[in-house]
Amino acid sequence: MSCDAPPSTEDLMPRRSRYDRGQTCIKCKSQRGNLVIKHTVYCSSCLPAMLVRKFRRALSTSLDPAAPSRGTPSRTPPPDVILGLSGGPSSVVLLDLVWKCFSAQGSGRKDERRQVGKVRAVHIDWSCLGRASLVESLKENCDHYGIDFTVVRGEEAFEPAWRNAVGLDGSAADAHIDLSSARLPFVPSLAGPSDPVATLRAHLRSLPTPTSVPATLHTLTRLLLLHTASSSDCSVLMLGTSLPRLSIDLLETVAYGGGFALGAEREEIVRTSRGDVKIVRPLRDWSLKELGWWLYSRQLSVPRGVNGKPTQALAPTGGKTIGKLTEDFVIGLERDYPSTVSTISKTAAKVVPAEEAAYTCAYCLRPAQKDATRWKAGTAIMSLPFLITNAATDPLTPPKTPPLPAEKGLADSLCYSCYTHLTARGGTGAGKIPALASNGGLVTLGEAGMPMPVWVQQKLTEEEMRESIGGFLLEDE
Amino acid sequence: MAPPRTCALCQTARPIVRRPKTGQQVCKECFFHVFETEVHNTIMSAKLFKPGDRVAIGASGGKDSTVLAHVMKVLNDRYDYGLEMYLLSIDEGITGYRDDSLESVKRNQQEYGLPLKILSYDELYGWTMDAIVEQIGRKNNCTFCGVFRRQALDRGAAALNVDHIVTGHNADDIAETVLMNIMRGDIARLGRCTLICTQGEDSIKRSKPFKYAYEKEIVMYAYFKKLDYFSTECIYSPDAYRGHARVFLKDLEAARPSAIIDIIHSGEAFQIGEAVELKAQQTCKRCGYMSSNDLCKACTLLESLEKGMAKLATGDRNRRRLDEEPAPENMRTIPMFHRATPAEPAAAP
Repeated sequence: MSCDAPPSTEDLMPRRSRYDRGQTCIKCKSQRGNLVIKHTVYCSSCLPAMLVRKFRRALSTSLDPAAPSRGTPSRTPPPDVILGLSGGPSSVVLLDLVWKCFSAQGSGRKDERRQVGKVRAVHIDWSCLGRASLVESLKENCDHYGIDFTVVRGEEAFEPAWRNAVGLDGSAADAHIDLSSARLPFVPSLAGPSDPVATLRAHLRSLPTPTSVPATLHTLTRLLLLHTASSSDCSVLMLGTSLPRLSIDLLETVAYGGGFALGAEREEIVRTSRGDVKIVRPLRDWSLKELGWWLYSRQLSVPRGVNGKPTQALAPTGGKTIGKLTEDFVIGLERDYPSTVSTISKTAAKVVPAEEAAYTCAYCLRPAQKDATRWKAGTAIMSLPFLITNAATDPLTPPKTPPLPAEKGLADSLCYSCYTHLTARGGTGAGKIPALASNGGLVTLGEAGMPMPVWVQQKLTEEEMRESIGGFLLEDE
Repeated sequence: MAPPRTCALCQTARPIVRRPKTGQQVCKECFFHVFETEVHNTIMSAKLFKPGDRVAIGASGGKDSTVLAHVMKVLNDRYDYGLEMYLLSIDEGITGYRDDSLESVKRNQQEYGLPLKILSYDELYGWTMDAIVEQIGRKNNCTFCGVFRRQALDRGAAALNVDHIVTGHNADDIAETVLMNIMRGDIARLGRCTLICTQGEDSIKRSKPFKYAYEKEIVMYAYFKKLDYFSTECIYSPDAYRGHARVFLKDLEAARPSAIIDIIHSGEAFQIGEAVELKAQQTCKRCGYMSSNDLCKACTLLESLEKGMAKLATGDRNRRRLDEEPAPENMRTIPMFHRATPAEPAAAP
């Protein structure tokens, strides 16, 4: 509206003063405080206990909201847990806390140790895209804690053998789609079996905006972790998502149009071919300062480096992705207005999908709304059924949103945000990703459409299924 | 030599704009056509009006409301909506800003031949924004202006005996509001900010026909149609919190233009969980306007101004201190809200 002028730097929210509750620890009320967290002062003796309590509380709420009170033996066998480690600060803290709370060596209480069963760790290695490999240092860390460690290469998402190894349906051929049509129809693959790294790069290179690349890598990582957890018979996947990272993910999800599955960013249960996997984030209430203090006080080293960003190798030149913009925005808020970052997370906990999910997205396995991918077509006219001569005076036919092509395609099996990643075009500030512009010296795939991850498969229609088994069906009486 | 480009829609004329919403290069006539038709589609799919409805167009003289008045007039004539339309302006009393923009509204009134009603803060509350800013300074003045304007619009509409107010809120405004409400945890507003039409228990319907129209396209439309609008921004500081969300949104739009419509889609796709308790709506004990407390926000703010304690009025924590302060003699209050029944004659604009 006209009275809302574009703000200048000095118009933004005024900075709040810190140390607004005195300098004595709020817990013991005797020691001089060492750290201010969200305007509250803690001493170095009280802080670790507070942080461990926070971790345990979040974990208990996620694992079993109706769990018996502390000290009461659990009646159900504890779930086996897989830790998803990225090599960043929060995954190092997660590993340390899990060891501290759930191992005999880590001084976890016997009854509390029963909260989880067998613990193992998994890391998705994206070194094929030019990122530094963290495998050795993460392995060292896990060996130090006595936790089994598994590495899954990122390109496995395009490796048919991996699909079979994790128990996914291997009957269908690799799927390729045509991005030039809004319905994303499946097209036959012209090339034979190809190198999974080349297929991964071709997949990322086909994405229409640089913004879609980190978002897609995020989804691929999540799916690789999920299928690995499922194939290892682990029903819980634990991630080291901190409060600012959760807020970044939530705002990103909103910006991608994924509001329907907003709650899934905090906690979700995903149905896989071998059973349900629950994704939990027990560090979801931890600020960067709390993570930093834990790393410092426990003398932990971070394989990726404190400032190392997983998407740095794929950063576009001449622009920023939505992910990077959101990250900068939230980290700025975390520094100056920590309560706002916490509010974003709390707000997301209070909303639910506006309707029942119609199906599960074929790409990200999150719930999707009915006609999710057709909604946008109703907001913009992309073609005209007749020529305009003089719209001001000539009678016009009754307007309607132009009907979408009837052809079937992957679009009908996607959620809104996955569809947007595959179809939305870039703006003036989108930039280019040099690392993907070339194919890294690998063999170029034939012009066979965009290759899809191995879990995305073309679903047969009822008629097609009937046709394939037609010879065995008996005529109706 | 490459062949000359043609409009992506009619395939014949030379394109002159790249639509921010779709990225298509289109000619001027096609741009006008799709812009107007998309607004029409929005109106029809939400069934906003019925023939014979009396509709007030909230007119500030800025680009959004000027384009809205123009498009509503065009669509009402073209598709025979059968609406009786009025222009409704609120004079906040901002010297050098609103007085000039109202001149633009008056010129539009002449051009479109629509009746115009102007209601001023001074008339309704006994305060102008100039006087309010004099007392509280520039910080938080947007809180006063926003609360007072909302009620003033309803009261102006009630005086005109209209069924409906349409405002020029565009897709950017709505996306910004979604982000802002998530950031400040305003669950109640988050739940309703993407609704195209809202209606209080006792109030008049409010709609946003530009819900899916990009701000940049509204500016393009005004520019190519050579519409007469007032483009100067408010001289008082803008809403700082909204400013934070706006800077972020503009960055997102530059990275991916569909981000605006995607955020609106997100806002439409979720709702407030059943476990979340929201305050029940009631009527203000002092002025009869809808409220979630005993006193509506406008009455609270006006009382704080009258007591000279306006700086305390923007936070709920200070309500007790405000209550303890004795009211001055002849404290001005807002007249009782009264919605004319359909049988009553409409007030002259």
